[in-house]
Amino acid sequence: MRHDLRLDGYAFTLRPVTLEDAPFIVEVRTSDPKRVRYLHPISPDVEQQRAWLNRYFDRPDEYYWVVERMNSKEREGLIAIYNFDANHRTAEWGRWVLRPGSLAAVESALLVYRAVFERLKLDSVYCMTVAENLPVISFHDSCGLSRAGLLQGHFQLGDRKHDGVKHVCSRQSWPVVDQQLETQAQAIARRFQPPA
Amino acid sequence: MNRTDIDRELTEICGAILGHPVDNTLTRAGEDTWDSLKHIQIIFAVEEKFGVRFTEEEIPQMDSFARFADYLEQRHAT
Repeated sequence: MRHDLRLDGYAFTLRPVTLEDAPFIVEVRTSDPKRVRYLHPISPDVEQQRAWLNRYFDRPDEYYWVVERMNSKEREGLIAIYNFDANHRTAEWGRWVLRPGSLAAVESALLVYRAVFERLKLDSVYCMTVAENLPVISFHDSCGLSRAGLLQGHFQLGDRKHDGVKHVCSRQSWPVVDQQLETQAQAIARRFQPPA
Repeated sequence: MNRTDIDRELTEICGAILGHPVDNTLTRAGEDTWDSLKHIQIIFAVEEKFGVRFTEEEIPQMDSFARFADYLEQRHAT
């Protein structure tokens, strides 16, 4: 969906993806197979990515962002919210990938939760993680999310099916998650400021 | 502070944040609960305990007990 929902944090921004981001998307999602092995594979062809983005722009209720450094405008990664369920006032977040060595994990997660609860006014958000992707499952646990179940064979990656772990953040649990992430995001942001 | 003292303090910090006892063979790649949030928590706890400040480039490089210990031993030797 073409949208103008932009979220500014302490050191990073979520800004809407544009067609000009197609080469970056291909690079960050294909250059390091180990990092992206738990994401749905995409074509390395930039033109195909532009075509995918044009279809995304036409789809309603889908938000795709570039994670960007505020001070340098350097692109750090990608994140999205999709699969909206208006009846249950919920959606899924994912397509989360960051360049190697990026420190944007904590703040990009914080900003996507802020988009969900403060801007889109949803009641909950969930994320699905490939069961073998243990560090990301641990990240969601560490943030204070609840595990809502193991979905057998949820992911089809290549020719293999993988189980998925579902984590949920509800409006009730959001303040705890927010506080946990905000403290660390602020500390990371101070690291980007020159020493006094 | 000598290497034994550094190892003892690191063992305490990493064990407390990861939620279980660890030893000096600990690596991020081999520890499923060493996630991005806990990595930052370990970094800041080590900085506070040892009075050091990791650069932005050094933060992702601190991916094992041994790397922390080597770094800290070098800093305390100079």
